[in-house]
Amino acid sequence: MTQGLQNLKHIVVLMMENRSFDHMLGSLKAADPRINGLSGNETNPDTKNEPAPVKPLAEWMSQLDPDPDHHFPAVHKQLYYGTPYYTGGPPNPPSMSGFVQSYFDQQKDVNHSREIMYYFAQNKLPILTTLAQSYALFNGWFSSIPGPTLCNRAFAHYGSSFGQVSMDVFYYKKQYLSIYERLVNAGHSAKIYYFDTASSSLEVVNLLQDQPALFGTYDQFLQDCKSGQLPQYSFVEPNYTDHTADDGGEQIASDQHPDHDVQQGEVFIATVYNAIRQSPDLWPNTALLIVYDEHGGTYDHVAPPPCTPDTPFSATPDQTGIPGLTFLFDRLGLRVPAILVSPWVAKGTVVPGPEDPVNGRVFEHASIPATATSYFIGEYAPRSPREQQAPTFLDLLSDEMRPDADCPVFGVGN
Amino acid sequence: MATPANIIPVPKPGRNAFNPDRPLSRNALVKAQVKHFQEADKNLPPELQTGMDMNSITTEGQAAAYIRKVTEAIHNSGGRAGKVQRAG
Repeated sequence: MTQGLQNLKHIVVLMMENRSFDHMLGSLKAADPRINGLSGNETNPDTKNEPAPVKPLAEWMSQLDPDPDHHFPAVHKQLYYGTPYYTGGPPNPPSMSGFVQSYFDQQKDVNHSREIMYYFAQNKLPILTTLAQSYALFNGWFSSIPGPTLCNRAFAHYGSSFGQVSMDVFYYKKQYLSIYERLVNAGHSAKIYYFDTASSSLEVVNLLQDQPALFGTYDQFLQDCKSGQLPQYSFVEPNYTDHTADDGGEQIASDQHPDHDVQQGEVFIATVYNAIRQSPDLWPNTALLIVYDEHGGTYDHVAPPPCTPDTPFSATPDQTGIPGLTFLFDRLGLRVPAILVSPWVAKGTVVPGPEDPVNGRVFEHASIPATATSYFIGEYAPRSPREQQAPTFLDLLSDEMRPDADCPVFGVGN
Repeated sequence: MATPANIIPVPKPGRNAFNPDRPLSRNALVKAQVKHFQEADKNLPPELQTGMDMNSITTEGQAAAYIRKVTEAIHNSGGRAGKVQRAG
């Protein structure tokens, strides 16, 4: 066991919304060729069959409006446009060619549809790109399902979506406990911090109404960081809505879900990071994972790989919304940004993904409960097949703690 | 723990970033969240249910106001919010 692992007392997960790896971090390939971002030559055909190239022209807001469709049928089109899903045996590799076609379906505007290929220039995302280059960036972290938010987030909480591929995740009879329930039952501490009561949690139907004691607000997270009360496992939710605060002030959504302002998400990521980074009691013994739940319809060039089926679950054609297509949870969703932050992570670590057939590792959201369960509980059988096969990520904590001067701090008030 | 050399400034969003009047129909996530809170609302003890007309929620700000009411009611229910039935 490394020194970094021996020191570890807290795992914090911050899950943002709906942006692909290439959309947010594709620019970094130019700075570091180990990062599997964009070459600049990637294209998708538009509806006039003209190539729509990737361009570093993504804007903080007012560009991805309306919210790009990322329900199962739309994502299927984004992945498999021009390529059959089945030709016998397991699903074929996706073509990654239908992003522009899919976005065109919403407004029937060719020029607007081509903007789904835009990605952020590095200087537009100083927080995320700094963290990606300072700590461990995963080239191969994928959403768990080629579909929308809630079924993907279920994998982060339960290691399964219980057969759901949609936003209607009413899984009342779940056979796997959430990571929070597992930890509390084993005598550990765990909490979900939502931003405030007006933003609340996306885990409402299941955990919030059943076990409200598992929840706290973001203000409480900041206070717990200062007072030494941070649980062993924490999951932080950003602000999902523009709304008026209790004091009458403006609360800008910080989730980065299109078409919310991406800069406010940068501020939020910085405050979560700073809360840990600036606490002498937390910084040496906390691992922070910053990850996005799914791609939100934005372009990524890496084909999601096949995975262990989540037996016994399957989604019927009625559930997938695609005639004749039964989904066996045997292929991952799109690639998303994921960064592991800790002073025990070697600076500039790039965890290889599918681009490296020898050393590449494929992570997904089931890796989150898999890691927390493995570290805090150890052997634990009643888990989904997907979670049992999901790789854990704490091996990235090394024997050497980086000095303070080597770890950035962001200039934003907590 | 920070030195001036490693402090990175964080740009703030522009003045037009705040838009609580954004139509709910343009954000699939908040729209789904409202649906889930409606389900949770129904499971509250009768005296804590909001009785909100869902047709009156058309903007993100209105959705947030509804979500706040139900979240606070869940926390105020003293454990009487809808209990999830677990498989044996």
